[in-house]
Amino acid sequence: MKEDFDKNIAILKHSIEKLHEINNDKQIGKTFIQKLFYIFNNNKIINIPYELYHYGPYSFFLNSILNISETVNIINISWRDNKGYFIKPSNENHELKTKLENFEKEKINTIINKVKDLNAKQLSILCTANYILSKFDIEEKEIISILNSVKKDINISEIKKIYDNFYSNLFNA
Amino acid sequence: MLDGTYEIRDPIFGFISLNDWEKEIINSKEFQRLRRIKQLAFTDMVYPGANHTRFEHSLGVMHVSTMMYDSIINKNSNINILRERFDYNDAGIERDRQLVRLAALLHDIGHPPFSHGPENLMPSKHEEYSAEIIRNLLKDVIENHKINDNYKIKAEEIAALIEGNIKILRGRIFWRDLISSQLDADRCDYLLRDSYHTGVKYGIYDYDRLINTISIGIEPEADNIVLGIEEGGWRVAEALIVARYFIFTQVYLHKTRRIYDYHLTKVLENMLKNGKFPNKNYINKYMNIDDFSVWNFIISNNKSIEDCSCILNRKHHRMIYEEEIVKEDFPINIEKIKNKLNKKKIWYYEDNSRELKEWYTKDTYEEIMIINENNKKASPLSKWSKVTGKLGKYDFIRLYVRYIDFERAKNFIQEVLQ
Repeated sequence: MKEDFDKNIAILKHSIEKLHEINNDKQIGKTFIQKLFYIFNNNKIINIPYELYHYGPYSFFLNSILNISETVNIINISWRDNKGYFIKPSNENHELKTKLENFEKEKINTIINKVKDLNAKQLSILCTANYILSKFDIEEKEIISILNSVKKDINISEIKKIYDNFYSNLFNA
Repeated sequence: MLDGTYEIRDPIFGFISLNDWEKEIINSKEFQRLRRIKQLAFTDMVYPGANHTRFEHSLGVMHVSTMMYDSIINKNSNINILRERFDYNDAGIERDRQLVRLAALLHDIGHPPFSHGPENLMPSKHEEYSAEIIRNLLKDVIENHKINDNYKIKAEEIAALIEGNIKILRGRIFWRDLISSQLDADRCDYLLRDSYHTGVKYGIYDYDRLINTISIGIEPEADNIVLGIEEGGWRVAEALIVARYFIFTQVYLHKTRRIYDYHLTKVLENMLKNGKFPNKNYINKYMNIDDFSVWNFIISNNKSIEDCSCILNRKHHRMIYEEEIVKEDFPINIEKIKNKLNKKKIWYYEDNSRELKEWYTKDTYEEIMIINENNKKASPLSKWSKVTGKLGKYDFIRLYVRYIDFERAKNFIQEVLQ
């Protein structure tokens, strides 16, 4: 358990650094990280509990990892009104207890490259779709209408486009 | 009082109103079992007044969730959002009010004896047991009452709100936040009720202000609807977090209460087949287990099982050392003391808060959102409060020894620490 905790902190640190290396201006908030780690979970890079909170998969365990990492200055979390959380790498150089192997970093980077152009809203749609499909007995054709019921602020054709363009690549690869 | 409505006297909220349908559900044997499930397990070994049960807590949660729901829908700006996002009409809003009331009433119906005390022995979460009881044992009393002719609420929908079944509820799953979130009716009731019965003042906050300022808004990163408190009421949100912190540290995680959870778990490991509660598929068997049956076992096995005797004679294991875990480092003294106890051949039990089940850890870090009433944008409480961001989880490791070893162990621990 202790090892998992340290490992997840190392994965978080690496992910934040990698995302900022790709695009320093992009908003990486708590929702984005929650969904990114959900995809990591799905790809067996990590193994943390997720459950439904609000409208999609959420890990209370990951939230505690985020907060502890902020407390010990491994990452910086700030809030901007009307935009939400922004998570950035810390300026302090931290020697973590657990180091990631190169093959682990490669796996993480592969997923990050797949999601780098998506925002939190789009990632939420994709992860909620996967959560529903894996948890409940429903046919894939129903999924768009369920997603539309929880994301009324997004046009149904836009939801379909996001689902068609990205879902298979992230979850069925 | 309207015809067909009833009022129950409650020490926290004065009177709790219910209709004939709810009364029938409350009178079912499944709900009446909650009279035999103490809210705070063996906390009365420390605070003798803590003898209240899940029964009155469940009534309280129904009451609070209704106050919250009404406060939300009585604000035009909220109604507009609800209509836009969930295609609500007036009938839908009225129907979901009743759905929320029933889910709140029944959210704890699947609790094991002594509530959270023996949770480690549950094959799955108590919410899943609640859902199973609602779907099977309470289906008839829920679906076939004449008041339900107006609503046509299915037992499955109530279970879905408790379990979080988005397939059934779709966007209306939002109302689950009133049953399970940082700002839910469950917490709002237990803080006040547990304070009242234990006699401590730690859980008290301005309930009226909270109900008055509860609202909904939009979280900006993913544009989701969230439950929150209006900007004008952010102090009550702060008070709620502080109250929770104090009641956890002073009551729920009290050293004596914690060791009784250990004794209780050991008793149940002996009492239950394979040391676990029946799987939720054997729900009738599960429902036969309550505090009374556990007490019966404790009394019958006083001589043969050490933990039964510890409870009956109040000779529980005694704490000899406690250390707070700061940040992610483990304390050092604990290891030294454990080595010493091993050398002296003194048995010990280690209680590590990081191994506690989710009722403690789950939402410690989740933020309450504060809503700007003009643009409905939400922001986290930590942006407003200088206090709550600093209140992390209270993490500790404690060592306990048997009652008879306490004095001996205490003496040489002083040597280790010097």
